[in-house]
Amino acid sequence: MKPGGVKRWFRFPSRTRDDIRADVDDEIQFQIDMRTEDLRRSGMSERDARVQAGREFGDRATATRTSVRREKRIERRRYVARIFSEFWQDAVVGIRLIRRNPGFAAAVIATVAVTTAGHTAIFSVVNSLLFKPLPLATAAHELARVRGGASQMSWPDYRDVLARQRVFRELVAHRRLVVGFATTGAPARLWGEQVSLNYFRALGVSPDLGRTFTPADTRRDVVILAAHLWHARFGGDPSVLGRVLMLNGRPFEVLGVMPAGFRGAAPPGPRNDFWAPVNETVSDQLLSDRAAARFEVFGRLNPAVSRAQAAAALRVIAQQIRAEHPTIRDTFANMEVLPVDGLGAFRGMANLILPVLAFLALMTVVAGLLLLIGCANISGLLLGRAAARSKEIAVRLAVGAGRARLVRQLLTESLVLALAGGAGGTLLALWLTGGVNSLFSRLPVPIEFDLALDRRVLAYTLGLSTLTALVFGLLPARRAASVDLVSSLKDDAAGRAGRQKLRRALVVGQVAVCSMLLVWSGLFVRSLYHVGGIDPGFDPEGVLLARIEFDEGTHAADFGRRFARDFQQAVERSPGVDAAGGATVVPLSIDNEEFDLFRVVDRPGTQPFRQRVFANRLTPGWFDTVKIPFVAGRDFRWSDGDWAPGVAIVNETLARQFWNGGAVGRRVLGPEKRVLEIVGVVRDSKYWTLGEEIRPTIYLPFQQAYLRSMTLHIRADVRSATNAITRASRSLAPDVFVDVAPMKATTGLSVLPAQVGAAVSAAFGGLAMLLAALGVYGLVAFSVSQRTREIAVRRAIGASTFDIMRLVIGEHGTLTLIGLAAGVGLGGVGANVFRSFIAGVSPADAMTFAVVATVVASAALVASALPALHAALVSPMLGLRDS
Amino acid sequence: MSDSMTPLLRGTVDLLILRSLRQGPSHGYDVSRWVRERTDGVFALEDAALYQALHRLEDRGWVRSEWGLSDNNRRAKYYQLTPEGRRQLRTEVSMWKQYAEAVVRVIGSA
Repeated sequence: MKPGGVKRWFRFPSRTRDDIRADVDDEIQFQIDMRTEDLRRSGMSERDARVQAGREFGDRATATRTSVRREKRIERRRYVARIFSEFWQDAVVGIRLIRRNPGFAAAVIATVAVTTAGHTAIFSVVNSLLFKPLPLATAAHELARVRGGASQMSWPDYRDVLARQRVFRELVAHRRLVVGFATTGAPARLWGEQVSLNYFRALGVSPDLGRTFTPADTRRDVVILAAHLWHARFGGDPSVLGRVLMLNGRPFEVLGVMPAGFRGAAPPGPRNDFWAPVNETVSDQLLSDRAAARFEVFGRLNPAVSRAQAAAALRVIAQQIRAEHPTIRDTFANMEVLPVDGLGAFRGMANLILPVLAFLALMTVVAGLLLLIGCANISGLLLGRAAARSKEIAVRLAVGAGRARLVRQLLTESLVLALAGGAGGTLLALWLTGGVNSLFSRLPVPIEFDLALDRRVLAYTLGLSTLTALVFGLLPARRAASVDLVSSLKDDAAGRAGRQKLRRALVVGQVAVCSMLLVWSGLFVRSLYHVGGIDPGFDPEGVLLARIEFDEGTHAADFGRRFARDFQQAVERSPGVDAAGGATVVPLSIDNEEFDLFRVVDRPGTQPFRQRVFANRLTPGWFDTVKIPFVAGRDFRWSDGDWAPGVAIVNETLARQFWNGGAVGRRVLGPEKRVLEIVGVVRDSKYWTLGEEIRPTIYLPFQQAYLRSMTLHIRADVRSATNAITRASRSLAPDVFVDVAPMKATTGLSVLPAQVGAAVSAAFGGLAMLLAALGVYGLVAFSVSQRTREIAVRRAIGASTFDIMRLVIGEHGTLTLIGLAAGVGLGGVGANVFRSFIAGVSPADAMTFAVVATVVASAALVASALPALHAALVSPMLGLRDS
Repeated sequence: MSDSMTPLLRGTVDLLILRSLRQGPSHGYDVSRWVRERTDGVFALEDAALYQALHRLEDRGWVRSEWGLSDNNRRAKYYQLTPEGRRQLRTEVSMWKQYAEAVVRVIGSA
């Protein structure tokens, strides 16, 4: 092939500007000459005729100029039409080839399908996070989130801002609300939002059924349901309108049902089951407390007001409000107006979105490697086929087909295969994304992403398939079109050495990538196994969790403290219950709490000391219930109440770090600068993940450190106790929602990341191995087929079946070994990146390496033994006659 | 050309060219001669305008062109109607007839 590169293959012959000019000139000249000839024949002199013809023609310069301009347009159009018609011809040929060679086509299409499916699934997630438009009538750029000093707002602050601002057409406040939903069956936890009345008006969305809120709706309890809840709980029955639901023991009338997919202006993720308006007639202390900044605020901007202008206006208003109410924190005046879609919607949520994006990036890399293996494989197949078709191609070249034209034809054939594969990949991706959403259903908080296909995902897959076709098709096509005419027509094997070298390199690369992926999945699996054997330091077996949720608005702290005590004591009296105790953080769930703890200088020789510690807030009896033994001191008592001196219990690690042991009687400075005396020391236990190093942990009495949700741990006979627990909570306060689940189910969540890592890398690794095995198989089968004569001769002079197999396998075994060594090495080094996810396993784990090496080597051996055996069994006579 | 000739109404050139090509493929000179003979020199049609119109019609897809050899063995560009051009010709002819009849009616009644 002459130099010139890729551009050469896509250059179609077309007239240059000068060609066009010459053509137009020719045409006009022809006209003038013919007219001159006519006039001369009618009796004019040659000279007069020429002058007359020229005059009759008129303005030649202008005619030439406009004609050239038009011709250029026509030429461009013809050029495009030619490309398309040629492409179409080639595509038809390509489709015909698929029909003639279904096995080959199936292999290529399946490979492309599998490799693009991973990418498409990953992009579906990215798409739903960042690119999918919000399903709203109001354009996303008109909407903006408002935050005062990177924080939410209190209801009174919101009301003041609302009354004074002029930059938003609508300004909306909403907050997350978790309620218990009492039906005839088991009570359920619903996640919804309490919203200001203008919520739906600002978003411009109307309900599928019923209506949204009117101003009268502030005086009673009403609710609008999400479509999924309507279908799941009410079977999509339209008579749900007007029905009364008991939420947290309070009756709510159903006003309407929103369309499926509606999630408000919130970033994708949390799922909402219902929307209820703020009811200002109910005595809700949250609505009058300026310190309770619990409401998210967003608004619909006035026309021609930018976010920056809105922010400037709000800052002035916030300054005024703060001047009137000095208790408002000073950051409040730092008003921000943020976008509601794209990456900007996640501002202030970096700790949530960054791990997700990092994980997606890692997955993209892995899926990219898989794509490369797949491409290498198909390239190998195509190279083999190009060799088989070299005679056809040589003939076509001999009868005058251009090499560039030939490259384009071969590429188009690849493209047809790749597009078919891309279509298959899209279907596979649909199935994969279904799996992603079911994975989220294991989390304690309802998470939902709209992963449905849309234009963007389809365009992405289309682009990816096209790129794939170029990657795997270009090299073989170029090779095929550069066949040496003479040697190909003579069927000379000498010209094929170069082609084989390339296929060998591809196989080495494939084995390397698949080994690397398998090393990673091996490390994850080993870490899971290791984690399974770790003692958490407490015993979740036989423990039930009763999660209590107080409504912030209607339940004061006093009520919560009293309920927690009465409820626990009622449960303790129930039959089948051995022990009970409450904690705000369930260990090894996704919950945690941490803060800075200070050592109080209380004796000569102590220095000030500060340390970040894990924390948990407990009622008496918790340590007994989960079987964490005391090393020294005592448990909390109900008498360690709000009015009593502050007390705390610490774990051994904290006692060692703060006082070298001997902690009982010492003092620390906890949150809100409260002095706490240590009354007990307990044995270390795992807090957040099984793989973690034990961190210093402090336990506070719930009665002194109230939170609005806590979980009662109950050691009991699971079957008989569940009903007793529900009965106890109902009889005490029907409007407090309590749901019961075994502790084992919650603590299992801590191994979720390692499980996902193991599952994903194992799936990709297995797939990569299959592809690599196919690659090895293809290489050996091809090289054997090229050497039928040589093998037959060897058989004829006495080589045994075993000799032949050893010869063939030995040649390719070296390739496998090189790839294996490279892959395992790279895998070990690369694993350092996600070291923190593989608890208790070194990235250079010898055991993993050994297993991966054995598995890959065996697979390669089988893959090359099959064609070798086939070759060895061919009778020498047949082999010799064939050539 | 003499002053007594009537300048052509806009759009008439296109109609004349399309009509002349109904006889079959012709080069530009054939078209200009056909127009000249048929109109008996009533219209002032410059060849420059004619050629610009030919290229414009090709750009619109009403005619297509091909290089060939003329009777006296010179390289010449031959034009022929496309199916679209045929349709366009029919439309324009019927429009012109209606227009002319209307004008004649008005003048006749005066």
